[in-house]
Parts: sequence; C-alpha cells; structure tokens
Amino acid sequence: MKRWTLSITAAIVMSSALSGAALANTRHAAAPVTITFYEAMPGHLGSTLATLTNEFEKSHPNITVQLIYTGSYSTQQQKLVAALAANQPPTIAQVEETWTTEFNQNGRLIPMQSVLPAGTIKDIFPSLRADNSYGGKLVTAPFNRSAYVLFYNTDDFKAAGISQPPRTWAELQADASKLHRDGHYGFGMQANYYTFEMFLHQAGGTDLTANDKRAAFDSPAGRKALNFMYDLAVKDKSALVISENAYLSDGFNTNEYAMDIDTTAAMSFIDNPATHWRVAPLPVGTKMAVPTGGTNIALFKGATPAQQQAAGAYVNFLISDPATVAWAKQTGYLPVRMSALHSHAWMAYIGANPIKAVAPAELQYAFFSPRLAALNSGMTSVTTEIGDCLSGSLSVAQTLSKSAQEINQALASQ
Amino acid sequence: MRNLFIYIPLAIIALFVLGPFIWMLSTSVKPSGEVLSVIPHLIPSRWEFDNYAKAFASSPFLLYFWNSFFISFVETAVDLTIGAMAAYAFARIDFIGKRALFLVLLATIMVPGEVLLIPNYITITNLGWVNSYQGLIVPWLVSVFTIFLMRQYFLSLPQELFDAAEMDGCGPLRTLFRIVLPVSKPIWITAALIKFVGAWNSFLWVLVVANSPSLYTLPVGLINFSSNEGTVYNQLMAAATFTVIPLVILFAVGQRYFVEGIARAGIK
Amino acid sequence: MSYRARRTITAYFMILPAFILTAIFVMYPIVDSFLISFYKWDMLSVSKPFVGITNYIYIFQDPLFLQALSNTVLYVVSFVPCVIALGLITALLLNQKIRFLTFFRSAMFIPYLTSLAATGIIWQWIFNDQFGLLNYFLGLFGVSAQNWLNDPQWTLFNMVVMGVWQNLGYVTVIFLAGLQGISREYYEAAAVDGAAWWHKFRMITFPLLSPTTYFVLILTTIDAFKVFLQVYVLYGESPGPNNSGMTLLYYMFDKGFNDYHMGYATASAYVLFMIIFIFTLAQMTLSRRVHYEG
Repeated sequence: MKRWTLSITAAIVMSSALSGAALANTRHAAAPVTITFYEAMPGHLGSTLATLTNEFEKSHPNITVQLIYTGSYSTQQQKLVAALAANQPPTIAQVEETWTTEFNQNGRLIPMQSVLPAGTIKDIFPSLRADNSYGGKLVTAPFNRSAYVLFYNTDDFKAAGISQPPRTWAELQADASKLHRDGHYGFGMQANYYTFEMFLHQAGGTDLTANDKRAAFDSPAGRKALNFMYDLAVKDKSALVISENAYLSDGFNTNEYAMDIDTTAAMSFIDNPATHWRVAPLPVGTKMAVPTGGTNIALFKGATPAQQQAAGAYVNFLISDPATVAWAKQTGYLPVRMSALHSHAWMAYIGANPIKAVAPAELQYAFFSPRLAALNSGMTSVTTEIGDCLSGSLSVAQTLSKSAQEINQALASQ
Repeated sequence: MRNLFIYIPLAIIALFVLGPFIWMLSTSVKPSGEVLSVIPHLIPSRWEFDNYAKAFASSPFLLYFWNSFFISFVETAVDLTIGAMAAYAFARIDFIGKRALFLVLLATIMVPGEVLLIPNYITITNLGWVNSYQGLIVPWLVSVFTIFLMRQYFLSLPQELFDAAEMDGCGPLRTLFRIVLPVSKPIWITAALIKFVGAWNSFLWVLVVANSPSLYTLPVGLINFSSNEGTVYNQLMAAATFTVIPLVILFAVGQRYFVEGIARAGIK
Repeated sequence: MSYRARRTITAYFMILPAFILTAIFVMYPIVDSFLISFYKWDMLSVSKPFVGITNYIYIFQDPLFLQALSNTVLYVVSFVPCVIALGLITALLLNQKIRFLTFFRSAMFIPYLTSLAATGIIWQWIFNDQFGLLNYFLGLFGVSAQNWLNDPQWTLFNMVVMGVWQNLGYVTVIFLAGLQGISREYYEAAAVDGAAWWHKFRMITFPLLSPTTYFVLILTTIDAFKVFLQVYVLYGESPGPNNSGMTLLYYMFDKGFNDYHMGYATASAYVLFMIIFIFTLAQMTLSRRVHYEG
C-alpha cells in the first residue's frame, strides 16, 4: 500500500520534473544556476541563514545557493582578499563598509542597484540605505545589521533605588555612581575609538570634516565626549574600563557592572540565570546618536548575467519582509526595511518581546563610521591615546590633538 | 628527602603546564551561567556533560574528524617518504652543490609562513585545485623541518652500516628503505608526530581553500562557537577537548620513541 | 662518468621530489613576495606600480614598525633564555628515576597539542583582572590585583608566560633526549672522585649537552622571532594595549590584511627574515667557537 503511494508520488514528481525541464528549454530564465555566498555566520546564526536559504531554493528551484562558511569577519576578509587577488571571487559575500569602499574603488563590485527591484531599494531603512550607497547608488545591501542599546541590570537598579533607566548623559553619570559599590561598577565600557566616536556623535560632533580629508573631533564636541568618558572612568571611578579583547556582554552577564552599551546581537550571549536585565534607548547627550554593527552583502564582478539575476533574487528574498523578520526574530539583528518594521508580524512579535522593540525605534538616529580603510591604522593609534587618557597619563586636550594628528596622518598616507 | 627536591619543583611545573588545561576541562562541563564567575571555581555546581553532546551536534564533527585524519595522514606519509630521501642525500651522499642547496632549504624556515598565503592561493587557483583535497594537501607535502631533523639523525648513524650495505650491492634507495629506515624508527616517529600535529591543527589554509563543509577540518568546527558578539565558552571547551584526545593518545603511544628520536638528531 | 658525477645524479634524483614541491609552494612564493616588496599593490587592482625601495623607507620611518621591531627583539631575548632554562631544569628533573615518569612527560606535551582557539581564551581568563586565576592566587598571598591585559607594562610578561607554557614540553623533550645520550660512565667516574652535584653538571652535563642546547637555541630563536598568534588570540585580534604586543609578524599581517598594503607587508616580512638570518648566523659562528674552545 505504502509502496504504491510512493511510486505514484514518484511518478507525479517525475512527470512534473520532466515538464519542468521541458519548460526550462523554452523559458531561458529557468536554466539551473549556482551562486556562491561567503558568509561568517557561526553556530545558531549559520543554521538560521541555512534555513532561510533552503526556503529560497524551494521557491526558486533553478537556483542553488552555495553557502560558504568562512569563520570570523577577519578570516572572511582574508579569504575574500585571497579570492579577489586570484580573480576567483564568490558571487556574493558579507562585507564591512571599509572593505566595500576598497573593493568598490578597485572596480570589483557590481552595484546591488542593478539587480534589486526599485521597490525594495526604496523600502530599505533610509539611514542603512545611505550607509550602503556610494555616489547615490546602492552598492551593497544591508543584511545582518544591529544597533547599540543600553543594557541594564534590573536587580541592581532596584537595589540602588533607581526606578527607570537613564535617558541623558547626566542621568547615566548619576546612576553609574549610585550603582557603584565595592568591586561592582555602575557602567562597563571599552576605551577604544568606537566608544569615543559614539559619545562624540552624541555630543554633536563628527569624525571627519565634510570632505573626509581631516579629523574634525579636536573640537568642543570632542572635548565634551572625552571628558564624559574621563569623568566616568577616572573622576567618579564608577565605570569599569574593559580591554579590547573582552566582550562587553561577558562582564554584564556576570554582573561586574550594572549597565553597558552594546549591540543587540549580544543579547543571545547574556545567559546567566542570575542576571535579570532589560534594554533601553541610548542616553542622549546634546542629541541622540546610535552606532550600528553588522555587515552588508556585496555582489562581485565576474558573476555571469544569470548569476547576477539569481543573486538579486536571493538578496531580495533575504531582505523581504517575511525573511528579514524571521531573521530578526531568530537572531539579535534588525529588520532592515521599513515595511517589515511596520508589518503585522513584527508588531506582534515586539508586542510579546518588548526588548526587541528598542533598537528599531532608534534606527532613525543611526550614525555611521567613515567608510575608509585608510582610517584603520589611525583608529588603532587613537585607541592607544584614549587608553592613556583614561589611565591618567594624557590630558583630554593632549589626547584629542595627538589623536587628530594621527588620523590626519593616516588619511594623508593614502 | 632528596626526592622532595625533585617532586616539589616538578609538581609546580606540572601545575603550570596542566593548570590551563584543567580549567578548560572544568569549563567544558559547566552550565552556561557559571562559566565566568568573579571568584574562580573549578568544580561546577552541576555537571553538564550535555555540553559535549551539544557541541558535537553543532557541526558535522564526524566528517571533520575524518577530513582532519585523512589530510594529516596523507601529508605525514608523503612528507616522511620524500623527506627521508632528501635527508639521506644531504646526510650521506657527497655531491656537487650540496652545501648551497641545503642552505637554501634551511633559509626557507626563516621566512614567516604567512607570506606564502596569497601567492600559494593564486597557484592553487591556477592549478584548478580550489576546494579540493589536492589544494588542501599538496602545498604541505614537504616540510623542510622534517628533512633537517632526519638529516641530523642520519649523520649520526655509524659508517659501518653504510659500508656493509654497499658491499651487498645496495643502491642508495635500497639502503635507505631496507637498512637505514628500520634502524631509524625513533626519528621517523618523531617527525611523523610533529607533522601530524601541525596538519591536525592547521586552520587558515583550510578556511581559505575549502569552499564546502565536506572539506572542512576540526579547527573550523572550533571557530563555529565564536562570533563578533560573544562566544559559547562551555561548548567550545568541550569541542576542544574531544578534538585533542586523538592527539593525546597518539603522543602517549609515541612518546617513548619521540624521546629517543630527537636524542640522536641533536648530537651532530 | 666520474664516480662523483654519478653520485651527484643519484643525489639529485633523491632530492628532486622534495625540491620540486618546495620550489613551487615555498621558494616561488618567497621570491614572488620579495618582488612585491618593491611595488605598491593592494591585492585588488591590476595596477601595480614599481616603487623601488620606498616601502622599506616607509616602514623604517613608521613608529609602529619600530615599536614592533623593539617588541619582537625584547620578546626573543626574554622568551628564549626563559624557555631554555626552564626546559633544561625540567629535563634534569625528569631524567631522575622517579615515579609517574610517563605521566609527567605526557603532561608536558598537552599545551603543544591543544588548539589555540580554546587555550587562548583560557589564558585571557587567567590574566583577567576581575575574575582571573592569577589575581586570585596573588590575592591569597596578599599581593594586590594587577590589570594584566590592559596595562601595557605586563604585555611582554604575558606573552612570555604563554609562549613558555606552549613550548616548554617541546624544549624539555629535546633536552631530555640529549641528556639520555650522555654516557653513564662519565658520571660514574665523577662519583668515584666524589664530585658535587653542581660540579658534575658544570663539568660533564653542560658541556656534553652543548650540541643539543645549540639545536634548541637555533630553533626556538627562529620561532620566537615569528611570534604573532599568541598576541592575536590573547588580545582578541588586537595588538594589545598601546600596541605593546605589536610584533613584526603582526605588523606584516596588519599591513597586508587591514590596510591592503602588500608592499609594506612583504617589505616588513623581509626585514624580519634578514634579522632572523643574521641572528642565526651569529649564533652558528658563536657556538662554533664555543664548541672548539670546549
């Protein structure tokens, strides 16, 4: 009986496959095509991406997407550069903005603009669209994007008698002091360029001058930002400065500090059952400014027209409403388009999971780091100076002027 | 009393060497909330052996074990065979250009291996070997270290051995495989272990050349526990533990020869 | 055909397989990247202008490179004596007739076998200023906690400790092997003379062990100059606070993959090579003299 049904099913599948093949001969678009995708999504993120990809392949039976897992972002970059140097790039890959600039300048990319429907492009969240565009053209598509939020320990807040998370710098500073007790800090932060950059933008400053030629942070806003970090870490001693190699989320997880500012993607690593926490929008300095994280997807020259079309269809699927919402639910990343953020499915989800609602609401205040690889070496030096400043060996004014010099030098060397 | 002066320093050294490893084992059976704690403690409140099962299921580890084993085995076997031939020539045959050739080979040890990555990847691409076992294996079939180690050992063998072989009418290849290698068991086991460990733990090359999970090796399974935002520590430690076990067994079996092997090579 | 010519052909035949593979996958890339050190190339573009020795001039004017150079040399001169001394002591201890010998020997090797992906994290925890094992132990003896990973003055120390930990077993076994190669008769003769332990070590063990010491010295020095991965894993893909862990190989890696400057990267690799070459040559000459004098 069972075998009988099976063979009937087989016959149906066979005939439909045959007619499919017949159709393929007449309709060019259905010819089988394989695209390769370098991705650096480990563990659970990787399996979620694989599930979405399977779903895509089911709806596009002629397209095969080969997911090529490359480890971390740094190994991804090494593999990608090796592949580009050998003229064998994948069809698409996850990329950070600085790589995009470098690849784009060397003419190695096909702009996403040419393969994505105009409707999709228009629907991408405006700040993310700007971050992925060069000369008004969408070059890459945002994929696994996250935003920074304030994580706070609700038990610590209760114990310190604080009723709600800080909304301004002044409140953050006051709360950090209230939460600080022996061996337990109010706030955790890294003494690096990116932390400074965030406060700089919140103080109304920018990294570089408008033409990207010189550093612009040796300014009143820069002083305000660095003074704020200095006050927290040195004057009040209410903030713990953790090293670059440690995850902020680890110290929050073990309750070394009661607050930190971290990406939404870190949520899944806060698994200590004794740590009770929530998230809140970033405290406002002079204005609200929110850093983002994550990568975008780039399409490489060398892809055949059929592969380009297939890549377009695949990326369009990945950032379609249902897929980007499913992705955001399963991971700490955000839906990347407006219609998804307003979709019923997402609304229902954040209704049940309010901690996931904070970051998307912040997206309109997102700012982005300059997309220049040349800045890397400068940023490394600035991180050093900020470390010196917070350990008390450099004054705020000295730190800023020295850092600005280093950034200018890095920019000039290109 | 005298033994105390031996055991106490030894115990301190063993603690230094094994301490981090013990912490790794202890982390591998801790519940996730307990991995990082302000007062370090070794004994978990609840033994979570489930970490091992979860870690093992997170990647196709059986396949990775097989790939690691296959790649390491082939590299080791070929390296030993052609390495022994070259070492024999350098140690036991007087030929034109010997010194210069050997110095050139030795100098290659001094160049950092990272320099080779991009040019070798381009070569592999031109050969059409990207994403293949050939691509993963062939560039590592010879290690100059093996040649150096074996040469040192062959130099220390007594001349009578070779004279006897020549009297019997043996050519160099026959002498090497029939007479020299059987009496050089310690050195080729030593060289084999070192090569095998290197291949087992090699990482960047595999990630760069392999494009599909069917070619990935154990270290690729290990990085799967970390992301930019966090690391699943207990499962990573569990996976690191089960990937090192085959090597520990190999060493426990081989260590007797290992000691004997380097002894001779160091003499000359 | 002369006897020597015939031997030469045989020898070349035996070397050939190893030589071909080395030529393709080691020597060719070495020459290729040596040439790249005279070009400006970002690995992505077809344009690859020849710039002469500009890359070399640039790196020698780059304070970061000079810092990397001094960090690397400091590491070599601290790490090599430490690992050799500790390895020798361990080998002398393990050369006694004691119980659990197999256990101790195997234990020494475990760090060499275990994946750096895991042990790197363990060492981050050991050095962690909040919950680290090291501060905990020091606390038991009333020593105040140090900020091991964030304070640049500890970076060299951290690197040496981790380096010794990884390589101790390897060095110990080579010494152990050397010690077992020394004939018992020497010690028996000394015992008749009633020589003290230290005297025996100075007059018999150390001189007879000198070829092994030489072998270890050359190999560990070459390896120490190439220090990189330790820093990379210990400081989470960063060169440590204030670049205190920036080494020559790290610099090369950084210039190549973060700044897309293959010219600077390969130029620094060749400076590193030249330094290793000169060091090794000096060691060879020096030890030859010691050897003859002894």
